[in-house]
Amino acid sequence: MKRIAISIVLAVAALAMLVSLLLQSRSLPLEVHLSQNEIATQVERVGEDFAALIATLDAARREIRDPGDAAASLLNRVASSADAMRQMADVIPGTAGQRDRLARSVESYAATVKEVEDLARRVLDEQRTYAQNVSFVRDEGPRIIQQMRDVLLDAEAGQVFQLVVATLDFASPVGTVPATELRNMVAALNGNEVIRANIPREIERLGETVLAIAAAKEPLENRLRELGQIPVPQRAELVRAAARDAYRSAASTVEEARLMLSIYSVALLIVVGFAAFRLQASYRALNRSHAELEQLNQSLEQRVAERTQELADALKNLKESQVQLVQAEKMSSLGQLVAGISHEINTPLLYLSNNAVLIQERLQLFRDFVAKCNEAFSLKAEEFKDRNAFQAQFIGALKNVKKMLKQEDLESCLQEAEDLAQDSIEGLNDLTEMAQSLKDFSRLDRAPVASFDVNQGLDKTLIIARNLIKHKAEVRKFYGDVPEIECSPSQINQVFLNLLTNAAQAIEERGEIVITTKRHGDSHVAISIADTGCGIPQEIMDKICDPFFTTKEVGKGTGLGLSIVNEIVRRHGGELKIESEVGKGSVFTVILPIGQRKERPELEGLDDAEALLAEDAEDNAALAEAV
Amino acid sequence: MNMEMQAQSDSRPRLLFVDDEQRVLNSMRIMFRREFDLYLASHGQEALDIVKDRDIDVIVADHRMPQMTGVEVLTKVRKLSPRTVRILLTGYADLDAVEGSINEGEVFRFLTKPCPPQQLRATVELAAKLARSTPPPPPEPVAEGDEEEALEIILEADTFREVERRNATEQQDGSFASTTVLPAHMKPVAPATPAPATEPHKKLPPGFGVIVFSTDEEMVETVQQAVRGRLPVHKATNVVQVVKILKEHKPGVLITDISDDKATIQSLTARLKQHLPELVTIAVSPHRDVLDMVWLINHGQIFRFLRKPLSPGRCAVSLQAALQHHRTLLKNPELVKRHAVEATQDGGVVDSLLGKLKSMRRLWAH
Repeated sequence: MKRIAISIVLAVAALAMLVSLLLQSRSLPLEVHLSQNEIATQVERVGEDFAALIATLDAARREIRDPGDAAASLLNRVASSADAMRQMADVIPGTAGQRDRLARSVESYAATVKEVEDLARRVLDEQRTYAQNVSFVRDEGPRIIQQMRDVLLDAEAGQVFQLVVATLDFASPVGTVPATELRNMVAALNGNEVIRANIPREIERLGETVLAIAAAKEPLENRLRELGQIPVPQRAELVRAAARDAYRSAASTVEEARLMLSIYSVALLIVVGFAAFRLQASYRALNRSHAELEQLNQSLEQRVAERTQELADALKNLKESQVQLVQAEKMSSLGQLVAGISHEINTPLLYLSNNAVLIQERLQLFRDFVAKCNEAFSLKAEEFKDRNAFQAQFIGALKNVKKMLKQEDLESCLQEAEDLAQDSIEGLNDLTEMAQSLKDFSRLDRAPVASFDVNQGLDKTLIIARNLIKHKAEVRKFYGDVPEIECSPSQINQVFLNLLTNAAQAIEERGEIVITTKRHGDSHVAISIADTGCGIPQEIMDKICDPFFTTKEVGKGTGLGLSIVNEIVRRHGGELKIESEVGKGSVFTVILPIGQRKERPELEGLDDAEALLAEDAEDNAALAEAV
Repeated sequence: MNMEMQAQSDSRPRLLFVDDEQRVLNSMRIMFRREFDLYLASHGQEALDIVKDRDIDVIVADHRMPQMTGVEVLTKVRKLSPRTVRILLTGYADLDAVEGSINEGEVFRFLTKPCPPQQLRATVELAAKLARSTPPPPPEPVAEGDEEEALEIILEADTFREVERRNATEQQDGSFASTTVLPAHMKPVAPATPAPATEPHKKLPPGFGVIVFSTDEEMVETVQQAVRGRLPVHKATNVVQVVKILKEHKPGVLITDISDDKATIQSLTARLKQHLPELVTIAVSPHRDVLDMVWLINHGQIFRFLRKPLSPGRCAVSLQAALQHHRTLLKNPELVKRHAVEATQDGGVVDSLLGKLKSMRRLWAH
């Protein structure tokens, strides 16, 4: 914030400086140049005019004439020059001192001009008068003389003539007649009565004029000299110098300002360039960091993608291993089942094949016996030559029969064969039953959802699990009159098998398994399987249906049995209840609805693994998140 | 008891069947009652009671029975009555059953249901003949189980002292030249070391030595660890080496790794048992194949079956028992018959190699 404020102030200052320099470096206006020039011209012209004025006046003096309009106009021009100078000086810029000096010089010039004007006007007037007087004398003198001559006043006329000549001589620039002489002559004339008597007026007037001339000449000359000595050109020159200095100073100020502006501009340009460079650099840095950020972002995304992939893989692996575990559980229970069934089948096969061979052996005995009997009883008397021979032969044969009877204990052989046959028939029945049960248990050849007799299902399952149970427990059945339920028979059989296997495994030495079926309310059937096994401790009761929870040793079970049971029952809209007391046993009760309220497509085509996985999909997601 | 034994020596052999299925017993009764003095039991305890009371020659037991499995029954019978020839007959051969029948029950045959009646009859008759014709094996002097003690007992009490004694006498003779007790680190394969001028069996009692037939170095090392340098361990990686080592060093125990070339090794094991019944075989395998094991029982009379990875302790215990068994067999040549094996097909190369070994039995029997 502070930096921004400082930057703004600096920028404004720089801008103000720039504006100020720009203003300062602005070219001087044209009139300044013109004024300056004009002053110079004026000064020269004034010099010329002044000189011309003096010359004109001097000439007029010398020629004793009226200086005329030329002198007056010259004087006017000189006089007016002061105002013009003042006007022009005003325009000239410059420092205060210079302007002051200029003003002062102008004022002093103006004063000088004024002096000149005053003096010159007097000189002009006096010269005009002087010249008039002289010309009066020159013109009137002869006339008077004539007049006097006419009246014959020749002497007096001569006197007047002398006066006129003396006056004219006096008046000429080179005149040698002193003024006093003139005055004396005038006085002499005035004193001449004759003259006065004849022409008093003319003489008086002439006398007065001569006296005026005599009086005027010297002052006029002095004044003219004085006028000529007035330092107008010098004063004007001063003005010009001041103006020139002021102008030059102003010009140099502008020049300086321009230089400054240039330097400032260059400096500013450098600053701006530097700023631009910095900006560029920071832009580049920004770009770079942006690119880095981008890259980072990308790599982050990639890593996220990789992690996601890993997670997905992990999830997949998890699912696969879960499937494998479920499969392993199935294989493990299947393995036990197969071991049992295999034993159940191989045992009858052993005695069946044995019995067959034994029966065959016995049949062989009987065949021999029958042959021997035949030997005896097929003898025909007529084939013998005499009765004695026949009798001897017959008795011999009978003896053989008797001997065999005695030797082989045929009766017990018969009994044995019968027993063996009976056992074999029973064994075959067992095998048939087992085969049928296996087929019914798996229901591979039946509809996945069907009406199912729970009691029958239990019986079939018991046959399959017989080998697993028979060493452990007596099975007591209390089947109620329950209706058929609509369900997936293979899955429900699986439930029965798992529960029965668990019950058998819970029994350590020897116990009892009680299976009860009954109606549960109007719409449900309850199947309970009770064992007298070890029971389930209260603290693990909540966990026993969790997947992978097991109390069996490693390798003996996957801990999925009950979770599969639970899942299947849940899918059927049923309920699994567990009551247990440690040391006394457990009761697992499955409550299943008689009819399925709606179609349950999940009962079809799904195997347990999939069912369990479908259930665990949410858990998987949560797990993946946790991972 | 003696009188009874005397009395019954002329009577029919006593045969005991244990099966929880009555119909099997019925069938057996009818099958054997003429030739045998037949006893039937429907569970293990009943069988043991009969074995205690009667001097049973042959017992045939089912494995899957309530309360007591067949292997358990046979193991108890082995302790109770060593001379009773034990046969396991089961409808389902699970791994534990087979392994237990070898290592604990030391069964003569392992039969699977359904068994052809002729084979059953022949096996039982052979077993009865052997039980009657051979002297009873001595009761086991050392209880198996204590892994640490096992080797100490055999080596200190027996081998070690005996070897030292012999060496001492030979050193006096000045003819002693070569190592006697091979250290564990020493290369055990004999062909590498030139045979000493003196006959090796004079330095080591014949039969004291182990031949390990395996390409698995780790296994050989484990065996060496197990014997702790107190027994020579010979390593062989092929059949020719096995025969050579057998000829040169006369080891009494063969530890064979049946994971490598199963067919050859099984065949070798079986043929060795035929030619050299005194050679005690311990089979080692990373996997337990029921069929292989059953075959090795019936055709190779393997003494022990050990699983990989081998532990020195377990190995020592088994070796201890095997050496003892070997010595028992040497002392009582008639007992060898008790380990008669089922005939196998001609072993070809193996047989021709082993033909040379027939004279070896004389070397063992010092």
